[in-house]
Order: sequence, then structure tokens, then C-alpha cells
Amino acid sequence: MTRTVCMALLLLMLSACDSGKLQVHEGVSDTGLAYSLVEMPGNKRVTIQVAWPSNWAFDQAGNKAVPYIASRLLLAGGTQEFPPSVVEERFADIKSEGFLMPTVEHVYGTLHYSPEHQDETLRIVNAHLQSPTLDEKWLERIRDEFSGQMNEARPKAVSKGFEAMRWAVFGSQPVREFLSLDVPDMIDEVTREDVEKWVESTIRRNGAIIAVAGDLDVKQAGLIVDSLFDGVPDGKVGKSGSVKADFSPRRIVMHDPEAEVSTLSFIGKVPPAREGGEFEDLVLSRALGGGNDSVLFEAVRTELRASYGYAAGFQGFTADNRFLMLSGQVETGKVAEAENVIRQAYARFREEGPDGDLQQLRKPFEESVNESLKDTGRMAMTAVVARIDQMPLTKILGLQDELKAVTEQSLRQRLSESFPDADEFIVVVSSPDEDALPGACVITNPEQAVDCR
Amino acid sequence: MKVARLKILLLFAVLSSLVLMQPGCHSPTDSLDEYFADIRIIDSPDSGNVTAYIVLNLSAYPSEPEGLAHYTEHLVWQNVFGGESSDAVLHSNAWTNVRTSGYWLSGPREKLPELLKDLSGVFDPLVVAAEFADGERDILVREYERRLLDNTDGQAIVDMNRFLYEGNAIAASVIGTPDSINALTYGDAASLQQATHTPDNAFLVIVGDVGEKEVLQAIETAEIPPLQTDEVHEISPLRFQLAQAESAVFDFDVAAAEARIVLRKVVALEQPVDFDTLEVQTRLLREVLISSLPGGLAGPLRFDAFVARSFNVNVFPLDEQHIELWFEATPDSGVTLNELQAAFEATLADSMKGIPASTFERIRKRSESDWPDWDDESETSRWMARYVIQKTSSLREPLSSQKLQGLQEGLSLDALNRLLKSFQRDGRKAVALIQDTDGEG
Repeated sequence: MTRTVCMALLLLMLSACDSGKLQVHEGVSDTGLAYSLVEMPGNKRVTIQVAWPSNWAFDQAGNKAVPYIASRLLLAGGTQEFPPSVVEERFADIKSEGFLMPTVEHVYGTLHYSPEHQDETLRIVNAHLQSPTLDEKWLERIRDEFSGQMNEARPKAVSKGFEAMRWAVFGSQPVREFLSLDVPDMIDEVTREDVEKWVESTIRRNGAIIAVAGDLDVKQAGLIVDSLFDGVPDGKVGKSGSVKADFSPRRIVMHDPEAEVSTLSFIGKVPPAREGGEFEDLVLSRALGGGNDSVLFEAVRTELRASYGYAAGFQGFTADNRFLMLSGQVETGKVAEAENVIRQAYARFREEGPDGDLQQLRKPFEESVNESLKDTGRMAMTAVVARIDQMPLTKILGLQDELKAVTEQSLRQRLSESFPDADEFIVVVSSPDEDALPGACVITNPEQAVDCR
Repeated sequence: MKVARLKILLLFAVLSSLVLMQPGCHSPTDSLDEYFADIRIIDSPDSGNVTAYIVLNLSAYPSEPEGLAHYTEHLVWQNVFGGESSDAVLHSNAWTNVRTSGYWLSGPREKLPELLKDLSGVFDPLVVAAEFADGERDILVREYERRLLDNTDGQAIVDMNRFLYEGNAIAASVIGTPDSINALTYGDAASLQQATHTPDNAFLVIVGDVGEKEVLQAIETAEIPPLQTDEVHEISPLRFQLAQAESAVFDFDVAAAEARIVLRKVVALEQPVDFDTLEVQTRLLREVLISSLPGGLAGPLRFDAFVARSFNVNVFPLDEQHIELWFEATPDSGVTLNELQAAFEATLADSMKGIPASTFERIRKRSESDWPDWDDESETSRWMARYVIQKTSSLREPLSSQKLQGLQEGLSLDALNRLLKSFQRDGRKAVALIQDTDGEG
């Protein structure tokens, strides 16, 4: 999911409205850390974005819940010098924000602040990276909170439907466990030792992908990077993980007699974002299922009257396993009909392309790009994603042109070459009606989706 | 006929002849007085697009049956946009709350006349196929399912609203229930539309790089007729009437639920306070209470002791003389919901002894970022657009940016402490306890 967010942000952000102002640089700090700088003259904020490659989700051994707990505990549990309440209040005073987010392939760390509070912000965050307290009571608190939220969400039919989807795609591979967190007691069993191991293997200098955005020059950005990473161990870069994903088409009913509604979802594989076509994807997904003037809204709500809203969008389990998803609640008695209507509407869309004036189709994204150019957070994330995808950083300055290069022809080409055929989707409905999709594989437990062929 | 005389226009000094003017909404000319109950224009110089809103006042009409106003909005939408809307429309949507229904269209700036022509269709009598109208009730039930089914917190809010706001329009659920939705008739919707969707009962709000002259020209090109009637719909915010002091507990036994509490209390102030001032004061009070600074709740509940592993607080006005405190929290391990409630109430009582000046000053300084950078034209435009729409949809008069800036200066520690102590008064209190009473949750 993060992958697609990053890509969307990348697309939104990579533009050069005033290309004379925005500049990009590559640098190496005094202590040898490579970083990217997006120089944004006049901007009042600074963002540092880090992506640490992680193979925790691919490892056969190890508790897959650890990254979620550890990333929260590292920031929330404070340090000797900076107890939790002190940090919260001080960050609120100076409008600094810090986040850590684990995904399948990376752990993303984000820091926003105002330049006048740079030294203090970096000192506080560096302390957390170097020597977090990892307080036991906070560990228990975070575990309980995460466990409580997951335990409440998991029994819901819609959650089971998405779990079934992940079972169908990944089977019992560790990545599925990381995404679903459904091994009994795995969250409650996270120990302080686990967290320490994760911190040691993740928060390191080696392999960190770093970007800074703000009104800075290369030297200043280098000093910032060195301050942030001061005392952080070199660490080891682990082997990248890999996963086999099976997107072969299937039809599955996740039958839950207790369910009160039905949720019907389609997923189909699309090429990785790094291979291009991202603006075409944005324009097309919006036309397909991005609002009350979209193809799916028209088909499922206005015509079939089966749903309040039906949407389309891109997500990614991993960088290589990116998919188009069509999803929404559908009246239980109309699920079968909805499946046909959606396939037909999608097939027509894939064949004919979107209606409407091309300029109008592009317009919302042109506006978003303009806004993103002023946002240090979006620009820093863009730069990090560019590095991850091994794209030249200068691409950041040319995306407005790439958006303008979207034509009716490129949209049609994208549809025919990259969008799945209407028969190539995995279809999953979670429903109280086991006959919701005639002829489908009916399961009562998400794990059974593995055997649906 | 009242026309807003707010001016928001920021010009950067490029040459000596350009000066920075007081920000605000554009003040329409007298000619624009002839159209709509009220017109507000917000300059947004950056955007090549324009957005037009028509906001209808519903306050004079009963909020029962529940869901009717929402159903009417759906049918009006179909009436206006279900057919071929003009090519001018880029985006569109609508909303309904207990006070207003609103419809908006967005498109290229030069297409404002077409947008207004399309949008003024909300005033036309409803002519919707019976089959569609029937089917739209199903769509509303689908919407209810999406928003409230399997959403215990949402359901708790609806039940608590009915109790806390008893006797007031805001007690009603805008979305209704499946039963109330299925009982709605096309005739009811048509009647409500006829009674409420009239230009003299409507606000027009325009956001874009347009001035008064252009708006007037667009209205005339769209052939929107001037108002005929001399009788003015008196549009004023809803006044709140607090029912008798009483408390209620709502138990929600939900399998596998993470235990949590929602506690809300509504009280009357001794004296009315200007609403805009009250909004700013209650927002500041909320920031104090959510902090771990002396006088705040987070220290005793979350940091000094492990009672609430997470919580949120909100304080807001219902009108000039009534305010609400909203507390929701999840207990730490080993703490029951009743113990959490007791700890909260004890901590709040301590806070009521007086917020220290140091806390007040620290929080007030932080609150400066609640406001836009008034020197940033783009940011201010966007902020003012959201502000004016929010005020309009709650039937309140937006202030000029100068007056808004003055509100910050009027904050005082005494006023905050007075507000906080108000919650000691009798009022209506509702507590929702959400937990799995059978399991370990």
C-alpha cells in the first residue's frame, strides 16, 4: 500500500512549475552518507526522509509483528534524556513531527520541522535513534493497543475477504504473515529483545536512503544528515527478500454467516511503477473509479443501484507486486449481477478508454502537482522513491512534461498493454450468502483460499 | 436582503502602487443584492478553476422524519446532474447536515455562467422517475450500511446525540435508520425541496479568481432571475435548548471489541459569549486538556500513571451559551472502563482548580499555527474558502480576516478557567461503554 502512496506522491510531486526555483542535488556528507537534496528556495519547512531497506517480512523465522511494535516503541518510549511526555510537548511547541512506518521492503522514517528549531529537533530525534529507552511498560502498552485493534478488526467479514485475497496471492509465505498479522498471539509475544534486534538491524547508516527537502544548500543538507545519524551504528545491509505472488484469476466467496453486508473486490496485477506509465495510471484509475463521474460509479450505483460507491485504485504488496483493485460494498442480493456489470464496464473501459476531454482528465493532477511543489514532505519522499527505483533524481524536475505527454493514445496503449484483461482478476466477495457468486470457490476460513483454483 | 460585505483580497507589493489590502471576502455590489439570500465571494487568485456552492437553509423545517433532508438532496442531485450536465463541470458533490444542504460544482473559471446555470437547477421542481426515487432509498440504506453498520463508535455517537441534544434539531440523525429511510416518500422529498430550495433561502458562495462584476455577469448570463419577494427568509443559526439535567449510560457489548469509553457532557454557560470568541476559547481549552502540561489530562492519565493508553478530548460550542466536552479513551491493561472514567473525572476536577498561567501561555503560543500565514495569499485563500464554507453550512456569518486575527488577541486565562469550571454545572451527560463483556477484550 505504501508503495502506491509513494508512487502517487511521486507523480503528484515531480513537477517543475517554476523549474528555475526547484533544484535537485546529490551529495555525500562529511561522514560519508549519501543523500539527495531537493532545494526549495523560500520554503519555511524542512523534511528529512529516510528509507531503510528491510528484509524482516521475507525472513522465514522471526515474529512478523515486531516491526510494527518496534517502530512505535522507538519513538514513543522516549530516551534517558528525553522522557515521552517531554518530547511530545516540546515537539508540539516547535511544530516538529517524526514518524516511522514499516512496510514490506522498507522502513520509512520522516521528520518535519521548522529551520529555527533544527538543532533541537535533530538532537531529540538522534537520541531516539541512538539510544531509545524501549521502556517495558510502553512496550506492553503498544502491544496491547495494536493487539486490541487487530483483534477487533480481524473477525469482520470485510477483513476476512482481504485476508483471503492475501492467502490466494501469497499462500503461506512470510510476507503474507507480515501483511495479515494473523498468527495467534504474535503481537502479544513481541518481547523487548525482539525490539532491540529489530532496532539494531534496521536503524543503521549502511544502506539508508536519505533525502532532504527545504530551503537549503548541499552543504547544509549534509550537516543535517550527519547530525541525524550521529552515533547511529553502521550496521549490516541484509540480503533483499523476494516473494512469489500468484495473481492467476480465481473467484472466491469468503462465506461469513454473521456478515451483515457483502464486499466485492477485484485485484489484477499491473507492472511495477518504476517501469513508467504512472501518470497514465492515475488518470485512468480516476476515470474508472475515482468519483461520482467515474465508470464504476455509473455502472454499480447509478445503473445497477447496488452500491453507495464503488472505487478503483492502485496498491502494491511489494514494488514488483503492484495491482489494480476495484472494490466496494454491494447489496448482497446483487453481488452476482454486480460482478458481471463490473467486468463488462471494465472491459469496455479497457477497450475504449475514458470519456471526456483529455485536458479535463489531466487537470486535477496538474493542480495537485502545483501544490506538491511547495510541500517538503512530498518532495523528500519523491526523492527517496526515485533513488529506490534507480531513476535519475533530475526526473523530479520534468514530471509536469510527463503529465502533459499523457495523450489519448498513451492512455489506450497503457490500458491494452498494462491493465489486466477483464477475465484476469482475482475476485473475492465476503458475504453472508454462500451462493453470492455462483460457481465460485466457497470458503469459510481465509486460509482455504490457497486451495481455490 | 443581506449581502455579505467581507473582503478578501491579497495583493503583493510589486510596484509602489500595489498595496497589501485587508484580507476578507469580496463585498458584492448592490446589484448582487437582488439575488439569493446572501452571496460570499472568496478570491483565490492561484486557481484557474472556480467552485460555486449553493447552500440551502433547512433550520426552519422539522428534522423528522430522519433521513428526509438527505434523501431530498440525493433526488435533487439526480434532478440536476443525473442527466447531461454541461461540459463545464469538472467536479461536483453535495452534502446535508441538520442545518443545511449544499451543492457545489467546480470547473474552469471562464465557465462560471454554465456552472451557475447547472447549479441553479436545484431550485427547479423535482421531476425524477419513480423507479429512480425508489431505488435511491436503497442507495441510502447502502450508505447507512457503509457508514454505521459494524461501526459501533458511529452508532454510539448517534445514540448519544439523541440524548444529549433532546428537543433540538441536531439530535436527529441526518442519515436516519434503514426503517426511517424505507418509510420516506417521494412526495415528502418533493415538499421539502419546494419549501427549502428557493433562492431567497439560499447562500451562494463562489471560490475562485473572480470578482463581483464577473459573478454578477455570470448570474445574468445563467439567467438566474432576481428575487421577486419582499419577504426575506430570516436565516439565523440554530439556538440550542438544553433539556433537563440528566445522565445516561449506553452499553455496547461487541464481540472482540477493544474496550473504550466515550464521555460527553453539555452544559449551559452563566452568560452568553460571542460565538466566534467561544470557538477559539474552546479550541484552546481542548489543547490544554489534551496536553501533559500542568492543568492537562495527559500527565495523570497517560504519563505519570498508566491509566489511559490513548485518549482524545474535544471542547466546542453548540451556540453562544452552551458548550460540550467530549472525552474518549482506551484503558491501559488491567484498568476497567469504570476506573478509567473515575480517573478522568478526578483529573478533570483537579484541572478545574485552575490552569496555570505558564500552561496557558505555552498553549496559546502553539495555537498561532491554527491560523493561516496571513501574508501567504495562496494559503490564506484556501483557509478562508474552507472557513467560509464551514460557517455558511452552519448558518453563521463568516468574519473578515482582520476580525479573525483579533480573536487571537482576545484570549485570556480567566476566560479559559471559567469555561472549564462550567463543566461542574449540572447538564446532560452521556457515557458510552464499548467492550466485549463476555471475552477478554
